[in-house]
Amino acid sequence: MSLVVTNLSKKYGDKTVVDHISFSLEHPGVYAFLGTNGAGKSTSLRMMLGMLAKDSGTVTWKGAPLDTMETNVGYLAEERGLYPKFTLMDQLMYFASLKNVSKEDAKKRIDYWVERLELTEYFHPPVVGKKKPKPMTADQLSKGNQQKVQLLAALISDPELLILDEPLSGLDPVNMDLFKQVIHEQVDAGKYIIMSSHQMEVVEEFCEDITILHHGKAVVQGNLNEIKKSYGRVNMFVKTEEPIDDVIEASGLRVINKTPNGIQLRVNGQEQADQFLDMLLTGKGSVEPTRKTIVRFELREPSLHEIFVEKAGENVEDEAQ
Amino acid sequence: MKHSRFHGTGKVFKFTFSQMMKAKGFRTTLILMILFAALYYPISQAFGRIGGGGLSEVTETSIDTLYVIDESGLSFMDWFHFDKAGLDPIEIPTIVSSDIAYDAFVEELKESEDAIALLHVHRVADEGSFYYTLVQGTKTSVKTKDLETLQKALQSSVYTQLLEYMKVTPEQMTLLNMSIETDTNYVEVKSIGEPGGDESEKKGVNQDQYTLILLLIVLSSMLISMSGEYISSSIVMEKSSKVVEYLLTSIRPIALLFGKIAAVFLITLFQILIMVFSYVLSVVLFHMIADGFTVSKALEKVSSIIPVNVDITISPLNLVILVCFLLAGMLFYTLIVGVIAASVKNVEEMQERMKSYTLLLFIGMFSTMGITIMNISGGTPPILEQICSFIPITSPFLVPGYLCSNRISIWIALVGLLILFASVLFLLHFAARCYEYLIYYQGQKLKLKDYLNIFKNEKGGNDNA
Repeated sequence: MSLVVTNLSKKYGDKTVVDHISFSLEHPGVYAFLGTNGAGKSTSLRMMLGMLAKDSGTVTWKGAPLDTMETNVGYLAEERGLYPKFTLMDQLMYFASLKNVSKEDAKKRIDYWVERLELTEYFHPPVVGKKKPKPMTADQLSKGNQQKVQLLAALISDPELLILDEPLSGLDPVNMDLFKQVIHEQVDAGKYIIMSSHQMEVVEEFCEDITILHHGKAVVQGNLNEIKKSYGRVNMFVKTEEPIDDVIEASGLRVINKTPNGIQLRVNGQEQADQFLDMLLTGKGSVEPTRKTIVRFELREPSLHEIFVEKAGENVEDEAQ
Repeated sequence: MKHSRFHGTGKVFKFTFSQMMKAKGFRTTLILMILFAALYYPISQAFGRIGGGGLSEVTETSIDTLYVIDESGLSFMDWFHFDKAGLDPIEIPTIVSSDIAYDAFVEELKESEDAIALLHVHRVADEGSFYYTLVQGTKTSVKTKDLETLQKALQSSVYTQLLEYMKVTPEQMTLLNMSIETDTNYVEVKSIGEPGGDESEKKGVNQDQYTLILLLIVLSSMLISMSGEYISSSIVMEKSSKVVEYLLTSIRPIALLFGKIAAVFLITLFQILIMVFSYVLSVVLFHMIADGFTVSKALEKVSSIIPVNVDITISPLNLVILVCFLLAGMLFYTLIVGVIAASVKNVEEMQERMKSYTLLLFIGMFSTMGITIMNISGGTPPILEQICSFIPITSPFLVPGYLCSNRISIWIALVGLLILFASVLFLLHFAARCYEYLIYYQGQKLKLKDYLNIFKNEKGGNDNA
């Protein structure tokens, strides 16, 4: 195993912000850290990196305690940070030197990533007139472009372990796709990535293993497919040409969501879904006992979003009680 | 190979130094400082000359009669014509050679209200020195300022007469190499046991000493406040912009702090040296242009800016101690700022917390100023100066000037320096711990109790390793 986190805990006064979290990264890929705001994602990541003292727990990398001075780690912080008044090139060269990247390699890597992340015009501003353009500083960039420069900083040492804290938040769809491509490339290159996010569909796209945190506790943890399988195929989507409210009422099923694209229903398994399908086909339970025209009928496992909402919601309810 | 805690200090130093040099604000400040240093001397000289302050003006004196007790055996000396060869001419109406013994004359002087003074010339063969001691009674109407002027005239006159007297022979060269020292004794009428007794310990500072002390207070204040400002803004900027989170994945906080302090240290020194160089250059150029001096003669004028006389000693050892005090003082205060800056999140919080630092700086600076002002108007008990020489808050301001003005002994200065060094080492250790603790703990507000715990407790961040 490469990264092993055991019993990680942190308290601020009487409040426990991270409560005995354990997980491991066994092979290259993306491990997701999910949770509501204040769930303890960033705190956990900071403790893993050793920049925040932990109350208990261990973090090891390849069998030895993880020390970012000794291990090539890339980090994209949630609260983005660049020197506002220093030129982009100066600060990236500085970051590279702190990561023990040689000057030549740093220049090559910066050139590569500047082009890859479509930042050329900011690093090499076009010459207008006779005056040589001044190198740009961080405060002259938009938030999205600053985020790209920070991703560049995280990747500049070609890290073996990459920790990305909310890497896609605040990005427009074009740049979000660009970031996703870069993350895919890193996975293909055999990198270990830990990513925290609010965007469930993005996590589903990348991650095999997840931890859902709620108030510092791991409420769901493990392989995403296995977690979904454990729930069973309980989400049913139905779209018909005729109204079927009376059929749903007669079946006793719970409506989760109703949209122009159809109705989402919760069933307790394949048998209940089959019974409902039979009712639609025969018109059983309907005011007009005729066969309904089915446009869409889908039975699937719950999405990560649904699991997340359910788990976070359950805990909120538990606390209310 | 495992990296040390200080790994990356050099890189932080290099980056901080280069970025500070590139900063527009720094360059503007530097230009203003150079202009101030370069223009100060020519402008003050120009106003002085317009005001009629000529160099060869004869000084009027409150001394009616100067008695000379010559036990030196220097028969060639003409005590009656100071104006003959002195560079600062002075006219004393009557100069009388006295046959009375020195101690007996001093007793008489104590009771005398006349405008008289005594010049005691003697030679200490073991030291290879001549002593020219001016003695003044407290009941006399002779002004101390006039005795100081006389001291200068005396030194010049003696030296010139020696040169005139001597031809270039081995014996004369030996004489030339002998140092000439003068001294002023303030004979108090009140004896020990009377009300206000033990006053003989007190001695005020003269104009030259005051100038030097003030100059060194200004210099140390500049060094300390400039370095403090640089270090605070550098640390707070990194924290408020959140860059520090990224940096901590590559470097330990201690290396980050030390790299910064080293860079700030060098930048501040660079600024001061540039200012001193500009000032010296302006003095040289002024005298070359205005007075038609050669470079060497103009450089002599530079050395006369700090009035080296019997009251001021700028020996190599004094200079070394002076520089040590200035640098250690700067480091002492910079480390305090480092700890404060580590405990805040943004500029607003920094401004709030810097109030206590500013108060500390003011206490150090104004204590020295206060003691100096009290000394002008009569003198403070030496114990006060000695105590302040041992306190690290005041010693960087007080010791440099007071040592060179012969107000405190070299031993007191050395003990003060030792205490300051020990305090810097302690603070270095404490600042390093605080900085690590506060960085790792996200800048939470700490109470005094917490600071004490940090020092007692080794627990900090980065405890994976």
